[in-house]
Amino acid sequence: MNPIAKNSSDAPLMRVPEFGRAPLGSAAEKRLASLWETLPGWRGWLATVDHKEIGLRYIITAFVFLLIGGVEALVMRVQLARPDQALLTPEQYNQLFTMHGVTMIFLYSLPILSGFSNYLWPLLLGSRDMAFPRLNALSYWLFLFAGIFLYVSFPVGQAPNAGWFNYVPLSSLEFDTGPNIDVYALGMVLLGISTTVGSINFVVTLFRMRAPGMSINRVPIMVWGTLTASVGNLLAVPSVSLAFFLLWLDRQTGTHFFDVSNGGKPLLWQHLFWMFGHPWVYVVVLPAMGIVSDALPTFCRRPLVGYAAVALSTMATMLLGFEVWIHHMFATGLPTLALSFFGAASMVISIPSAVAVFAWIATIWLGRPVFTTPFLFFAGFVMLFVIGGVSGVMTAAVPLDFQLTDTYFVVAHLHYVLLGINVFPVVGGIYYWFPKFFGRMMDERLGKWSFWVMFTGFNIGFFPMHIAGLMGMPRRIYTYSGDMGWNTINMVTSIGAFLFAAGILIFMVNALISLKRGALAGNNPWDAATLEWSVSSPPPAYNFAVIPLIASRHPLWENRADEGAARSSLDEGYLLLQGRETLATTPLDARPDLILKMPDDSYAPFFLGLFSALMFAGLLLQWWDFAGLMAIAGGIALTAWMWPGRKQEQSASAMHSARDAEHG
Amino acid sequence: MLPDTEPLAFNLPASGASRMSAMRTLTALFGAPLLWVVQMSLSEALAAYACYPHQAPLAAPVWSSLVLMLAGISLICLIGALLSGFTAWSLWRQAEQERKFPGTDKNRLADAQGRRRFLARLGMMSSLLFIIATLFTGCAIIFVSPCSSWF
Repeated sequence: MNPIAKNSSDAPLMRVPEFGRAPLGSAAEKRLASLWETLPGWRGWLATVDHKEIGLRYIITAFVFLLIGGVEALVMRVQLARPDQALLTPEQYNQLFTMHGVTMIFLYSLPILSGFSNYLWPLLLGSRDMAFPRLNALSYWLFLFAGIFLYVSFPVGQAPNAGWFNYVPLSSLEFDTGPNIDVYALGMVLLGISTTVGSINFVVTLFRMRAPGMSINRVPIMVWGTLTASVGNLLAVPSVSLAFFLLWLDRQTGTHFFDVSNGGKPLLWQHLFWMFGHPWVYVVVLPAMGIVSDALPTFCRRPLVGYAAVALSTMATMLLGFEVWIHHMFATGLPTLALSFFGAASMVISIPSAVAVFAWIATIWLGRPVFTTPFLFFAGFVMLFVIGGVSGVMTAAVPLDFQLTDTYFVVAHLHYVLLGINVFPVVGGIYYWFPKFFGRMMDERLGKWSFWVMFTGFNIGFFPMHIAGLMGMPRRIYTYSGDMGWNTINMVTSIGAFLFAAGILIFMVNALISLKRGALAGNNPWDAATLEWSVSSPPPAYNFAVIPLIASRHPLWENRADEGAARSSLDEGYLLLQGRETLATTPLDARPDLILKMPDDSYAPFFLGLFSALMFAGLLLQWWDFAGLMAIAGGIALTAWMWPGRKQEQSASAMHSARDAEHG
Repeated sequence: MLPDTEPLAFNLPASGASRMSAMRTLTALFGAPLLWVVQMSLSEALAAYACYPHQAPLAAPVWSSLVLMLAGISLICLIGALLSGFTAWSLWRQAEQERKFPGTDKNRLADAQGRRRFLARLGMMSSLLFIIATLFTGCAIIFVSPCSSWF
């Protein structure tokens, strides 16, 4: 039966997409390139909605923030290397450790993972773009402007200074009268918008933009990680945005949400912050764990052991992470039984974490490991994950946590978690996908040097912090007396920190040299299994000349892995050449559903981000008229964004009717 | 090499072939986690309020039957989680039966079966993990007296 004939009432909107090939240099391929390429020059730079460009911008911007946060850390380590140092005043130290935390946790660790996901998702999923390309661009611009906003008061010595979790009443107007906390509060609300729109984009992209045949059991694990983190963000970010907004109201308009002398509840801040804060920890590690789960098998020459178990452990960890926030508040005087519930829940997290660890170890054990630089970073990550995880389970025990709260033991734990489970996979991931990003390989010898220097420096720097904590050294002290017994341990820690920084420096030198002189990479230099390696390096603007048809979890390993008899079709598929088009598929089985007309490049996301940031600047400076004006300007940018264009008119295809015809 | 079929039908999981109802799948996947969240949320709120209702902590809970209430909540949630686990197990068995006896259209059903087996497996693992979590949380009631001091 002719599928179109079955549903004639939708005829004007129906179209069966052409099925065929579009080899490089063919007329169809040239048309695709002209449709999807961004204009050269600054206009194209400001207006682009190409997910690859946005992904790289995320990665580079977040890496710059990592360097800034790293320099702040090194300055602190110089101050703490010896007792009674006077390099920094207490107030400068407060601002440094606060900005170090804010930078690393909010401006580096999630944005860099968003960069990976933005760049890779459509390539992993077999699509031509993310679900909402302009929202993607807005997410980046808001992140950039929020980062600048959070740093705007730093040069004049008025940066946030009450720690990254910003407890009241220390951060209330009564004890912190400058603009420091207002910058933090408004900057976090602005950054929260970026995170939220980015998360919505990821969720919709996963469920609607997969290539036909990529049913839910064939999705790469990295996608599971980012999906889980994105759902987590959508539930967690409102809590912290609300907390910071209420604090800003307390400080600016005289409300008393956290003001104990007027019936407010300081503990409310802690609840709202940690309801967000603990899920956030998983948000910044689960996608990184996904990087390892997808890339490690490439170097073990076999598929990941326990795909379903790792996918489940990813989601379960996130869910458990929503019911453990009170373990950050064990020392606040809450009733014992109430604490015990959260202690028990915190220990349960070790189960899914252990499942993932054993899956990685089994993959290495059962495979034929190739000891390349990315493999070293991923294997190193597994070891650091175990150390960070074990110290986390220790602090889940309420009585022990009483002893360790606010000591350097906790600093050691959180750095093992955040550096071990985020930075190591990220650097390994850059080594792995650098050829795809830029078409050139990174240097292996420098790569191995960078790993060993980073790994050694990291452990020399951070492991002794556990001991410093057990010896009673509190966190966030700007100096200490020489007779406390902490001298040697702090000197060792500082040496380790500088060694770690040297490793990062080697990595950067390697990246810069390799950009110019690296060996040319083919489509698939690592002989990897997933879809992004089926296209050229770097990928063309349209990603896939035809939308591929997927028959297994490892489309490029079908002839060697035990993937069944069916074979994916990568060279022949849906052409979709009538404008910027891609295919929407059904959420579970990825059956073709709609032809999506994707938006063109636009300045609107940039201007909406800019006006939003300026509106927040107006609120910070109490220029209410200016803030109102910027809100109106943002509304105009949004209207321009949404203005219907003729190119988007045709929005449905004959896929529905084709499917109906197929199944009777 | 593409099979000689109409492209839309190529290698796609069959629609309408699933015998697994959406409700059973959702129960298998999310039943136990949801019940654990309910157990945690109710237990935490009741335990915290009972020992610290206003401005000062109490030596004994405001409700003498607090432990019984908490135990009842945990028991109900545990039973629900076990039922969710049973649902997941029965779905898994059904998916295994389909794999062993695929009927006449083996190729067309293969991918849909893969997806169903995957979801059933996720449901079993999810139920197992959160049954353990529910038990863990319930143990707190046994080992810790409600308003005692740690010191």
